[in-house]
Amino acid sequence: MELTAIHPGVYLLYYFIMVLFAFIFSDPYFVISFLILILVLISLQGVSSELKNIMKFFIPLSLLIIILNPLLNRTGAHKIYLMQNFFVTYEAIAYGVLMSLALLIVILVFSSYNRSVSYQEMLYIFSKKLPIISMIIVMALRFIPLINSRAIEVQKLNNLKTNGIESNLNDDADNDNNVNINDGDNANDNANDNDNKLDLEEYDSNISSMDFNPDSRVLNKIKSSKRFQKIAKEAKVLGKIMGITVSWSLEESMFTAKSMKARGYNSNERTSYLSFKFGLADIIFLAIIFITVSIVVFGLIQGYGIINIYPSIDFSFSDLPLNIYYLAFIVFLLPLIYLEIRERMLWH
Amino acid sequence: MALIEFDNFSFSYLNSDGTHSQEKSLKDINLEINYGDFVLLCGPSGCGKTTLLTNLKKELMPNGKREGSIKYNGVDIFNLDDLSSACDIGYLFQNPDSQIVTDTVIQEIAFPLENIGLPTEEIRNRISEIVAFFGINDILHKNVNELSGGQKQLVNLCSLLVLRPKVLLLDEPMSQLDPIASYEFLSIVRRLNEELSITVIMSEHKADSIFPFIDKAIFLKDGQIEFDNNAHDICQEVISDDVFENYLPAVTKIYNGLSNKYNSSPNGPFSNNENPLSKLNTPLSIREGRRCLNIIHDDLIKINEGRLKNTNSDSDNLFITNKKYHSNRISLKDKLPFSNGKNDLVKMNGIYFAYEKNNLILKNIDFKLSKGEFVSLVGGNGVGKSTFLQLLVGILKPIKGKVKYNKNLKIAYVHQNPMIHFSKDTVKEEFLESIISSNSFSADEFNKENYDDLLKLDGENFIQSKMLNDIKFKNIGYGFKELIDFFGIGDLVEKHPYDCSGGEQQKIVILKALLQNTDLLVLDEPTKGLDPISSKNLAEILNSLIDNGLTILMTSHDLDFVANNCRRCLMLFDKDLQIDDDPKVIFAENNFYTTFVNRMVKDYIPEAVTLDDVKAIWNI
Repeated sequence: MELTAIHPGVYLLYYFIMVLFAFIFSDPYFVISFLILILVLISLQGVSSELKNIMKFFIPLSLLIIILNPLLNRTGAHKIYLMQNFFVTYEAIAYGVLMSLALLIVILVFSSYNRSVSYQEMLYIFSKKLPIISMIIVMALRFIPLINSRAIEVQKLNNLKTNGIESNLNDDADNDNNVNINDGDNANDNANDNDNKLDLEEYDSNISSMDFNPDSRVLNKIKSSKRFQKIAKEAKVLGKIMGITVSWSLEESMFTAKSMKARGYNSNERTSYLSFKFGLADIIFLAIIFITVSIVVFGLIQGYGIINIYPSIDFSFSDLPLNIYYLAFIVFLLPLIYLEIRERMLWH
Repeated sequence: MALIEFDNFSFSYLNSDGTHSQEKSLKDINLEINYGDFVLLCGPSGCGKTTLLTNLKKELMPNGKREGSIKYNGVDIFNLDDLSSACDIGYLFQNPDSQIVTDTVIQEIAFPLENIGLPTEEIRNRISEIVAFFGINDILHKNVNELSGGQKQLVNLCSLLVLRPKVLLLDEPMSQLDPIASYEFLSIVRRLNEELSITVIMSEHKADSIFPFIDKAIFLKDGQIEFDNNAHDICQEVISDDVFENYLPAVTKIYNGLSNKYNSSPNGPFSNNENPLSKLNTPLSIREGRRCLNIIHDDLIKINEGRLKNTNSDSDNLFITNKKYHSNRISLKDKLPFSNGKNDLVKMNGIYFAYEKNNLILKNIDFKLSKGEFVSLVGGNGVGKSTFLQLLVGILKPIKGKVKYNKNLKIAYVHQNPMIHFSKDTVKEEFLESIISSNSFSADEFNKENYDDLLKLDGENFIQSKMLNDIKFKNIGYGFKELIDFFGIGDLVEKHPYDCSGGEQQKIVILKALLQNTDLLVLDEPTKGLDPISSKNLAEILNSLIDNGLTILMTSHDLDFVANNCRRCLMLFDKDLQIDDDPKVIFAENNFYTTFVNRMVKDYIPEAVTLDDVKAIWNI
C-alpha cells in the first residue's frame, strides 16, 4: 500500500492478533471465512514468488497432515471402516483438515505481513528497545547474501580443480565419443578416472590402514568401501570450501569493523533515520481493532468460534453462525482489504 | 596555520609477540598540509602510505610506538574528542564491498548519522542534501548488492560526507574500480575539494589522471618522505629517480624526453638555439601536453617527414586512413571448422550464456586460442569479461554452444581475488598443494612422510630442497627455486598467505597456478591494485613465460599494460567479441578508449601507443 501511511506498530499488533486467531478458531465457518478473506487480501497485495515457493512446499505437507493424522490418531466417536478391521475416525480427519488450514492461514498472514511492513520498519519498532539486536539483524542481512556469493565463487573454483579438463580438439569427426566438458556425466567420469592420481587424502587413508589394529578392522573395512570414501571426500571438499569462505569473510569483516568504527559507531547513543507519525488513520485502525477484538474475545469466552473435536465432533454445517461475534470477526479482517480496494480505485 | 602538522613523527608496529618492532614503518615525518589542499600520496606497496593515513584517524590508529606528534587544527590528534574525530576526518578504504555495513543505500548513508545520535529530522535533512548533491536518487532504496563497484564506492563516500568532514583520507579508493568508474569517482572528489574546500589526502598508484589538479605530491619510500612538492616541481625533481619516475604521468615523461633532446642536441631537426619548451611549466594533463607539442609543431612535422620518407609511406594518407595500421584480419577460412588447428588449445563455438532467463550476457561467441599466445581481454565493467574466462576454463557451462579443448590440456585459472585461492596456513603448504595436484611427483617417490619432512624445512632450505627442484615443468623451463627467485617471493614462504600484501598475494597465486604444470594460464585482472613497479615486474615475468611456450589469457583494465605486453587483444562489447586484433592497432584506431600516450601524440604519430613507441620514433 502506498497511499495510506499506517504506523508499523499498528500493523504489528494487527498481524499478531491475526496469527493468534488463526490458532484459536476451529469453527469451520470462522476458519473458512478467515481463509477466504486472507486470500483476497493477498491477491490484492500481489502474490510474490516467495509465496509460490512456500506453497510448493506447503501443499504436500498439508496433504501429509491430512492423511497421517487419521492413520496415527484413532480417538473419536465416529468410526469409518475402510477395510474389515481398519478404520479411521471422522474426528481425526476433521482435525487434520482444520490443522492444515490453520497452518495455511498462518503462512498467508506472514506473507501478507511481509508485504505490508518492510523489515526496516519492523526494525524501527525494535531499535529503540533493542538497539544492539536490531543492528545485528541489519548487518546479518547484508552479510548473509555476501557470504553466500563468496561461497558460490569458491565452489566454482573447486569445480575446476576436481573435474580435470581433458578432451580432444582435433577429433571433430567422431563427435559423440568426444569427451566434452559440456556434458556433466562425462566430466564426472573424468573425475573418477583421475581418482588414482596422487592425493593427500589417500595418504591419510593408507596410513590408517597400515597400523594394524584388530578392533578397528571393521572400521577399516567401512573406511575402505568406495561409497564411504566418496562421501568422506565430498565432506572434505565441502569443509575446505567452507573454510576458505569463512576465513575470507572474516578477513573482510575486519575492514567492516574498522569502517564502522571510523564512522563513529559506539560514540553515542544510536538514533534512527526512520520516523513514523501516529496519524488519524492509525487511530481509526486501532479503534476498529480494539472494538472488534473485544467483541470476538467475548464471544470466544462464551464458546463461539470454537468447536470440540475430540472425543466427539459437535458441529454440523446447518448451524450458521449468524451472530454479532461472527460479524465482528469479519469486520476485524476487512480494514486492509478496504484500504487496498480504495487504493486501486484512487489509482484509476 | 596548517590544518595538519606532522612534527618529527615516527611509528613502529607492535610485533605479534607484543614487543616493539625495531624497524620503523614511518621515519621522521615532517609535513604540513593546509586547508583545502589536495594531496597525493605515492610510493611502492609497503612504503607506509596506509600507516600514515591511519595515524591521522584516531579510531583506526594501529598499535605501536609513536614518536613526535601529529596535530590537527593545532590539537594533538590523540586529544581530539571522539565525536569530532569521527566527523571531521573521513576515511575511505580500498575495497568498496567490505566497508559497507548495512544492506540498503539509504541505511548505509544514514548509518554514521545514527551513530552520532542526531535527531531523525536532522538525519533526513542531511541525507536529502547529499542525495541532491550527488544525484543518487535512483539508487537510494536499492540493495547494495545490485550496485556496481563504482556506485558502491560512491555510496561509501556519501556515507562519510554526511558527517561534514573537513579532511578526507582516501586509501587507494580507485584501485578496485574500472577506469570509467575511476574517472567518475575522481571528478567527484575533485568537486568536493574545489567547491567545498574539503582537504583531501589520497594515496593512489595510477596517478596519471590525478596529477593535473593536486596541490602537493608526497612520495614515500621505506617510511620516509623522499619528495614533497607541488605537482610541477616534483616532476622535475623525480624524473631521474628509478622508483618514482614510474608514477609520473606519461605526458610529463614525453615532455621531459623532448626537452632533454633540445638541450643535448642543438643541431638536427631540433635546430633552435634555445629550448622552446623550457619556458613552459611541466605539463601534467593531456591538454597541457598537446600545447607543448603545438609549440614545437614544426619540428615534430620535420621528424615525421623524415620518418615517413624512410619507410616509403604515403604521408598524405596518414591522417585519413587510420585503417592502414590494421594487421591482417583473420580470414574467413580460419574461422571455418575444417581449418587445420594443430596449435589450437581451446576452441569456443557459438557460445551463448546468461545467468538469468532472457538476459544474455554473451551471444554467439566464436573464439580460438592458439599455443604461445598472450591474449588480453578488455571492455567496460559488467560486460562479461570474467564470465567469458570462466566459460573458457569450464567453471561455467554455456547454455548453448561448445567449448573444446586440446588433448591433455591443463588450465590454471587465477581469480580476481587472490584470497579465494588460499586454504593453507603457510605459503609453502600452498605451493606443495599445487604441485601435488599436478601429479608432478611420481607416486612411489612421494608420500606423506616426505610431505611432512618438506614442511619441516625452513624457508631457505625449502626452496633449495632437491625434491622440489627436480620437478620439471614442461611449459615453463624453470626449476622451483628459479621460479621463486624470479617472482622475488623467497622470504614469504613461511608467512601466512593473508599476511602478505595484495601484490604479493597476486604473485603467489600466479606461481601456484604455474606449479600445477599448466599449459594455459588464465588470469582475471592480475594488474588490479598493483603499484607501477610490481606491474612492470609482472609484465616481465609473464613475457618470459610466454617466451618459454606458455599461453596466457588475461583480462585487464590497464590499457598501458595491455598495449605494452600483449600481442592479441579482444574487446568485449554488446555480448560479443567486437574486436580481435593487435592491441597497438586497436588503440591506434581508438580515439577515447586508448592509452594516455596515444591521446597525447595522436596528431603526430597516431600509431604510437606506448611510451616506448614514442621514444623510438622521436628518438628521445
